[in-house]
Amino acid sequence: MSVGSWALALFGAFAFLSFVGALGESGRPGLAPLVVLRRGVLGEVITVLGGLLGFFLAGYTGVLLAVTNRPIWSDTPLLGVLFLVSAASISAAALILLGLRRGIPAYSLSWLERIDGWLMLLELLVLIAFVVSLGPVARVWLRAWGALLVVGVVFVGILLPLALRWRRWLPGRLTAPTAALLVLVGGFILRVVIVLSSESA
Amino acid sequence: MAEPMGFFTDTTVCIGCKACEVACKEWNQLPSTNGGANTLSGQSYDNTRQLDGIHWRHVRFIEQFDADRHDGRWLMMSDVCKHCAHASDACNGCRDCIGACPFGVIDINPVSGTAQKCTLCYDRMQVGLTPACAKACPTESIKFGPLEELRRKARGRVAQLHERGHTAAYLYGDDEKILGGLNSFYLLEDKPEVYGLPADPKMPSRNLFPASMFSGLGALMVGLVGLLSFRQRRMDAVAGRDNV
Ligand code: SF4
Ligand code: SF4
Repeated sequence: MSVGSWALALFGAFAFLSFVGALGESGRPGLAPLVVLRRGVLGEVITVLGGLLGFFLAGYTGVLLAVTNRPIWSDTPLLGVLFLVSAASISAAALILLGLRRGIPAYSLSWLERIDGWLMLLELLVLIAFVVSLGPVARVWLRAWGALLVVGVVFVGILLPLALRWRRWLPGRLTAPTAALLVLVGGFILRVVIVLSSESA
Repeated sequence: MAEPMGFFTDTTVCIGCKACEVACKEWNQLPSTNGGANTLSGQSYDNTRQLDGIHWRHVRFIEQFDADRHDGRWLMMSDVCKHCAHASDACNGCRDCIGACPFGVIDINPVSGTAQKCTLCYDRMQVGLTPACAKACPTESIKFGPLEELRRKARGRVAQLHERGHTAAYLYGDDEKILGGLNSFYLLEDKPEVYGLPADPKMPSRNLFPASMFSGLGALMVGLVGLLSFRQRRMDAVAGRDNV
């Protein structure tokens, strides 16, 4: 399984190149030539390859856990896809939070929120399939961990942010950061439940 | 290629003396405590409880008694790494093996800080010596030798036990049914679970292909969501709905 280590190292290299390119874009004197790493053919190659490696990495950790003999982790083939979809949704939420600090244009914000919304629905579907695929092993989840999964991940991390964005219950400026923060909390709880429930099974 | 060697452990003649466990610890200089912490249970003859980084042999004591302890029996089994026929032998120190082993054999040795388990006394084998545990066993419960010969002996022993009325005796791991064959197999007299052995152990790699496929599918769907919303964003931008 050293494939993952290679992918991680390569992803790190591409992320670094993008970072250096972004320094060039920041307009600091003397760094402008670095912008070739972000623009033009070279920039596109770096972005696309780095993005593909990012996809690999997002699913890899889940697949790695599935290729064991630990309860729960090895009882379903859906851990990788669950981690991947959840990672995508968390990334969109993180971008929203970062964007808000830097005065993101409204159409970009609503674009990110729309992506995140679709990803959260996808995550909900994968999560249901995941629990179903566990079969009898899911009984472990019906105790405290199951409650945490339903409250922390499904309710706090998915349904509540979706409802906040849709119904606009909060004063205008608070909706986007609150919903994004809840998505991050839900993603964290999902990982806590999956890692620790296998230990206690 | 040299003939594959292995263990045949006949649990019916084990007397629970733990000479094997001690010999293994001595030869391999395994510590008695786990990084200074006492690991003895102190409430059973089965003081060391499990195989791990500092117990490469473990003599399991199984008590089967009535509630009033009038009738019953002891089962004893010297457990060890099963030396699966199709195991990977390249260690890069990632510790993934601890969770992957179908028998829960491997754990961290606090002295070396690495994952460790029985080596089949490879160092002794290289100079023609029998593994320390098999050498120490006074009843020959642990037999070491070429696998084919061990299998022949083991089947003969099962037939002998059946003849004498011990019809429950059977071999665990001597053929391909268990993970394609174990190089350390056992003669048992009760269900594998009673001895703490899995009835149907599974290779961890069974999940690799389906899990990768589902992840690929997930990546496609996430990519699709991204692409569709990019299109929408462009349309929004063109339509001049940007009100910042
Ligand atoms: S073969 Fe050697 S290392 Fe393995 S259990 Fe026996 S004494 Fe210990
Ligand atoms: S296997 Fe042999 S040495 Fe080990 S406890 Fe049983 S009788 Fe003693």
